Amino acid sequence: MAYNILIVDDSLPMRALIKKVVKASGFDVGEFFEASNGKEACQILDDAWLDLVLTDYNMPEMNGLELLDTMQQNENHKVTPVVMITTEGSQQRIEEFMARGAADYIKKPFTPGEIKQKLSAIMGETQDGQDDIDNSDEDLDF
Amino acid sequence: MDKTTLTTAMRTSISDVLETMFFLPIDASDAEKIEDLWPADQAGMLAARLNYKGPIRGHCVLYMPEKLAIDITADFLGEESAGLADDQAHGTVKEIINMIVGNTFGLLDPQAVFDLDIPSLVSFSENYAGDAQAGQEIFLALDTLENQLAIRLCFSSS
Repeated sequence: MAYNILIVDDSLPMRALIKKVVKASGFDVGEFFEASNGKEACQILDDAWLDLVLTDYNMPEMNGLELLDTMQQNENHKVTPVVMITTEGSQQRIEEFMARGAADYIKKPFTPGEIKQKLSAIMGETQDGQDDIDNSDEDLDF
Repeated sequence: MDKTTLTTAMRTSISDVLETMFFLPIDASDAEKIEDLWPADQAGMLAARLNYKGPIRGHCVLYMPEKLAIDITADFLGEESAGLADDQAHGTVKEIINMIVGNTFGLLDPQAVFDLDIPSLVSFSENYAGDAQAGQEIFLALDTLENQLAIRLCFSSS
């Protein structure tokens, strides 16, 4: 099954990099959507069918936690899994993400293998293709 | 804060971020200060700054030739360097410093909470010298295959 993914990050190169790594991971993606902050993400959530949201934490206008809160207050959006992609490494911050409704978190820097493992687990996919996951740097074909 | 421990965490973080995420092979440089790498009026340089606070507080500055930022960005976007907008290369530099600082503090103490500001591009020449008011500093220089970059972390107790 192909999943529609919304990538929320204020950095255009970072959104591009996340897309590349998700594609390289082999996770089955239907369509990518992009937003540069939580506010833009909310507009896209209202307009498009999305299976998964990958969001940065530290953004202007509306950060990742505020986006989580906003989605939790909306009956249509609160069922969409949100994965925090963040440099925030503290256990306390991670617990805060999870307590506020995040499905999981991925710490930057990350590998295609980590992405595939986390996203597949969240979407209830089996890991049959695990052997195909490429964790090395050299073999990535971008 | 133990400067040696912080330096080790920074080195590990820089390697994690540049080699794992941006596919940029790096080696430690012999340069010990920024003057060993570039003059203050060097053209074509970018600098990105990120302020932070937590168990320690201060700021970090990443120095990088614009050409290197463009090459890194073009590489992971799979585009020609000439076709890139300035914003894209600038965004890469800001993202690199954000990841290096966040990852450094995560490695240093996973229990500690640090608040990182949003990184911004700053003037290379105006941020060339260290900040005498900022307490201690760590300066690390790195060689890439064809270029060099450097990072300065200034810190003091909160």
